[in-house]
Amino acid sequence: MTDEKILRFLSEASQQERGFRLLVDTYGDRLYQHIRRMLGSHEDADDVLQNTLVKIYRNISKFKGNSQLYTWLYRIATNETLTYLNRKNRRNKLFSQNQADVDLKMSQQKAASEVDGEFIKYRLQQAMAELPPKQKMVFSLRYFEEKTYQEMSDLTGTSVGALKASYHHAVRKIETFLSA
Amino acid sequence: MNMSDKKNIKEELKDLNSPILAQWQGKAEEWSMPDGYLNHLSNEIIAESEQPQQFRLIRLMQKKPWQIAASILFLVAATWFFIKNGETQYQSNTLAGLENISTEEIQIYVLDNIDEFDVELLEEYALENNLEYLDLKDNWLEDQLSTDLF
Repeated sequence: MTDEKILRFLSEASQQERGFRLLVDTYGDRLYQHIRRMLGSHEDADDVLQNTLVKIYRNISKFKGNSQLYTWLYRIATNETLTYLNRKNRRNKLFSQNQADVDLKMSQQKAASEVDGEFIKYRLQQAMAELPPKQKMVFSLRYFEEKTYQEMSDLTGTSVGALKASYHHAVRKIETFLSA
Repeated sequence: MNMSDKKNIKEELKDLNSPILAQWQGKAEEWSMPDGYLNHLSNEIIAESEQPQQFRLIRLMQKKPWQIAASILFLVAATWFFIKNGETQYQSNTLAGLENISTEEIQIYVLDNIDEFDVELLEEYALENNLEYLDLKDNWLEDQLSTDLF
């Protein structure tokens, strides 16, 4: 029902702003979580989310309706995030190392206390920073967002077999990292 | 996702000999957003979309100082390099070869590395040295990336 309302508002020139705000209120948090898990920092996630939402706002009329609205939004966000990561990987790695150092301090402080959700979040962020972009995406979709392999295949256009292999690879790397 | 699918994820992790990941699955806290963040973002995007499309500047004020300094250093180094090439034994072909790079290739290179460029400095440098201005249209990259989605 909300998707219908969003799309109806966005299709009317006088209601476009209202429709966009409703879209952001409805899906903004989920998109943010998805992007942030892959990028780690709020600053980077903010950049990508803004790019994503600008693209959505400008191209909503091109949404064909042959998938769920959120699936379409998700694919745009994923593409933007991967583009950003690939671009960032070509840059000086000093920044990402600094980010990892910050996170390491957090995890060391937490190590002595009870393992809680915050600690787990930061340790997993550290571990994921070691993965290449696409593996990071696959791991995030399966482990955090609990997507089935078929859902992931529909989202990414990659075969179920390739996704399983990628995920299994990512799991082994992260488990090794966490066990060290 | 139903309970059976969720159970499968944990079982899968155990099958992969990943006890830590299996134990932690579903327990990571979500990331918190600053208060009013999404509302502020909506306002920015709506305001930006009402502006005429133009060369899209990176939000420089949010960049860390070292990134801006690195961009300036890069420009200085690039300038020095081209000047030096003109003074050495380098054949004029080397510089002439650069003229054979298409505008599209330059656009791809700049946009791939746009985060390393201080865009305002690029524009100022181009004006001061009477260089041909790189007219990168705002939606050029979007067109390149979006063909399969739109």
